[in-house]
Amino acid sequence: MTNHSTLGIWRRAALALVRLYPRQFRRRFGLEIHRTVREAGSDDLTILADAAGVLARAWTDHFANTLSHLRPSRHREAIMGTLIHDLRFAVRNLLRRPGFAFLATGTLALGIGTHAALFSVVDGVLLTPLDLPRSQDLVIARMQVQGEFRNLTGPNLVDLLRETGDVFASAGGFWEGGVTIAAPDGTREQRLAAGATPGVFDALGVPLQLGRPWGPEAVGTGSVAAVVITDAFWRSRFGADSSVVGSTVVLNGNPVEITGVLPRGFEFPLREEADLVFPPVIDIAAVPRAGLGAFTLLARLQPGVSIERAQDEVRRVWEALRAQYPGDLRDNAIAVMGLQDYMVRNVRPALLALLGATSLLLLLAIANVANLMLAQGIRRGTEMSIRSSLGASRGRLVRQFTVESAVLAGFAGLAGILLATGSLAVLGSVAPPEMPAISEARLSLRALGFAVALAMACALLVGLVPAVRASHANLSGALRSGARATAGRKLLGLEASLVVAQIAVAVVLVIGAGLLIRSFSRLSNVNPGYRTEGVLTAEIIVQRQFYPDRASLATFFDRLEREVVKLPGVRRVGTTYRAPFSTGELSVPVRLADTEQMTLEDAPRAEIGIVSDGYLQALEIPVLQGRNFTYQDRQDSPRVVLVSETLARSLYGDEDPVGRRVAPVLGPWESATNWAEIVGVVGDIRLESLDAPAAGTLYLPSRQLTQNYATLMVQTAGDPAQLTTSLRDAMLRIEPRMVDPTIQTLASLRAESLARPRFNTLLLGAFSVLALTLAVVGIYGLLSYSVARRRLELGVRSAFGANPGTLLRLILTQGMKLTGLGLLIGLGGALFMSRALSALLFGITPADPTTYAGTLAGVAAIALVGCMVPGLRAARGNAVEALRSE
Amino acid sequence: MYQILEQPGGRVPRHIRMTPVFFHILLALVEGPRHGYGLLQEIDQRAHGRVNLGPSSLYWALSRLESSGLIVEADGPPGGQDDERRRYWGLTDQGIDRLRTELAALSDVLEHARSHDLLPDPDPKR
Repeated sequence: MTNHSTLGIWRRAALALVRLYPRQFRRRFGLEIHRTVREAGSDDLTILADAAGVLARAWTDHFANTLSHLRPSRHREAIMGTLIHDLRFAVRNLLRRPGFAFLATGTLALGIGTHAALFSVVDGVLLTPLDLPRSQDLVIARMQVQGEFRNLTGPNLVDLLRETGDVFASAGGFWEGGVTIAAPDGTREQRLAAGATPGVFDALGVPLQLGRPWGPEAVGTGSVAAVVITDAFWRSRFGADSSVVGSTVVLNGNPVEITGVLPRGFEFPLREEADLVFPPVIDIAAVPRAGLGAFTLLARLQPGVSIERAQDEVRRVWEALRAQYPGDLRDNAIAVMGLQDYMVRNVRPALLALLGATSLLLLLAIANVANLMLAQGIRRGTEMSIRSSLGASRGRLVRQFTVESAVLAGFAGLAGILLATGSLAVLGSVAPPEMPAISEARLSLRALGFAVALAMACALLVGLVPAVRASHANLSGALRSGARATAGRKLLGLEASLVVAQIAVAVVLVIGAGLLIRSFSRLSNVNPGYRTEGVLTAEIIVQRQFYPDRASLATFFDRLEREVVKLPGVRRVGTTYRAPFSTGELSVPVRLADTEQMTLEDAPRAEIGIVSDGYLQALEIPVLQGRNFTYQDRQDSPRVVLVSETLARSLYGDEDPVGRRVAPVLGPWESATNWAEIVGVVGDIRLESLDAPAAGTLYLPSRQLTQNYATLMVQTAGDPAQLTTSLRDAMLRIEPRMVDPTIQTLASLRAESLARPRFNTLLLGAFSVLALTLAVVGIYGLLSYSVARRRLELGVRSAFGANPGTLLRLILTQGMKLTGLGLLIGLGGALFMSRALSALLFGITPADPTTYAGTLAGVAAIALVGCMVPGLRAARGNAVEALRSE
Repeated sequence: MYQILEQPGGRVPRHIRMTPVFFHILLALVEGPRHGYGLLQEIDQRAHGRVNLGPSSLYWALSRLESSGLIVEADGPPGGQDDERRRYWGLTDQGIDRLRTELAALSDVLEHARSHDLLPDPDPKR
């Protein structure tokens, strides 16, 4: 007997597989198999393949037997036997044609995978209800000014809450705030917090997982008296310690009691996740009704009340308020919408567009595979004929084909699921942080089920038509003249239409991507009107308790700028109250001293900037007329302002604005009498984003309107990132009690502002590449099979004198005719659909001729390459061989 | 010419589809029981390498044929010359009936093919 240790590697591998056979079979035949493996044949891969094949078959049968014992029926053996046979036959057939199998499976997997990935995102954002009890009854109300959402002011909120008891079971207001928390290591951090009136907790209907909300005694005490923390903050800061209730945290310098912990997975619908929720610190009804608001109304509908009825009622109350306070509310409207709709309002159109694109891609993929299977069906006409003659019914043949495409779709479905998981991971890593819907999406069960259902549907779609067609094949016709002849010249009909459709869709997507790419390129290179390289920004927040008045704050900021500019590597320093690329616009009406009769309705609006005299120099914003702010423009000096170019033109046309007087309306209209002299005109800048046009801006000197927060702009000689540590150290040295400053280069802020357009471009770019690949594979596949089917005809032509060039031209003409038709249809489609992209474009129109021309030429060229290979094959074909093979 | 063995009673055999491998195994057992390795050699010789059969798939086929009642485990050949550790297999009544049926169907196909000039007639004088 051969010693096991002297066995070759293949036999040993085969014997290892034998150990994995089902137990019953192994017990019965294991010994014999061992013996025979040692004795038989040669030590090569075939013996291992043999063992592997039996492993698969043994387990398939084992499962089939197990299943069959669960459902006894008279025909069970026949059905199971046939099904297993069909499955085996299908797998064998696919393995015999690995090229086709790979192409078909890969194509379907691409379509199914991308669709499942997108569907997971859509499922998580749009279809999954919020994790709140009866979330469909929760609504939001906000003010609308010229179509833009704005916050409500305190008095408006209070009145709405009081008057809408008929439709709202419970309601409250919430707003976004920031608090300074002392971290365990003694540094101060700025954290995002949500303010809320007590009614909000009732409306949300969400019991806290620990403790209780703060009571009415904590409201309006002048400072934050108590706080509720979120689950995420509880876990990260307090290690989920249940003794946190009743403990204190130092907030804005004061110890504050933590009264409770919010449930897991709950967050307020703010821009980012808040860590804490605090009560109102002042009487919110006592602030001016007009002006800047902070509040969003959140309410739960009364049982049986529809959202439409709530909308009508809220509008009625609002109209009554407008009638009562016309000067304050003017023509502002009120908007009421479901909470979930409100939270997804920015993302919904983009998601639906993406879902539409992936559906299109899936259709392309199905079209491709259908094409390939149709061609296969023709090739296998002879096989079908013989099987039919041996007794196989048409139904049987159709079933066989359908099982084959089901197996294909099954593998594609599995591969698609893997692809979806991978795609979500990749999407998550490139998605901008403000799109948590995408960056945190996971493959959902529903998307999984959908992918499986898709795969089954694909199986039917791509399998049935070729199956029915192939089973039609006439026996004697096929046997006598060969299936190749029956295919003939026609590339019209189904196959060709599918290819044309694919090319058209690819054109639409490539044009879309091209537009976005050109737009993004322009956006990245736009000149914002100020210097973005070599500038460091630092957020400064100091607590008011250490600086009780404006004068002390002004002195602090002066000292800060003086010390920072002395640091090695620092050229210039300035401060502003609104850093570039940050949100939170401050747009107010402006009264003009020259125009006595001006009313609030007529008043022009301007963005407000509050800057130090170093700001313009630090960012190299030019002073076009007049002068910059100076040290003389202080708290006790006459009021002065600077205007941007655009504002100067809109207020005074071509006249010189320097010396004129204006008053920004920061409160009620009547109070805006603090006239300020325009001392200079400065260059326009794009402050909030690169794609928004420069807004007319009114600059006020920071020394005349000092706040306890600002952003320092530091122009550096070398790489600004190198100065981060020394800047932070210097700032904390000057004021150790300040909040730990967030320091970033302006260049990185600029790059972050491009995150969303970059993402859109990448996404559409990826889609268009996929679509183009599918289209080219489609046309290549179609022409290849056409050439294969027409081998006899081409051989005859060659025998009658056609040179290779003629044959090549024949195939190319065929292919390019289809391409041309596809380009035409795609062009029309693109012109129509690119209008949907216009909101995302910058510096380029949706009908940009260069993009269109480039795309058409590019797609045509790539399609030509796809036609070349089969064309060359036709040209190189040997006439004698073609004829002999018949 | 061949030995037919009794099918042990009890289990109802299940019908299986006749594949080339099964067919050749049944054919090889016509002359009497053989063991596994012997079957491999016989089939390889008879089919001139056209039947793909390895040690594992052979026993898989034997297990299927046994559960279908077409073959059964048997004693060694008369004379007991061979290794007594080996297991031998032989045809049952059902096995020989099935073999006959398959051969008859094959014969029909060959006749059909000849009538369409796809195969040369073995006896041109017919």
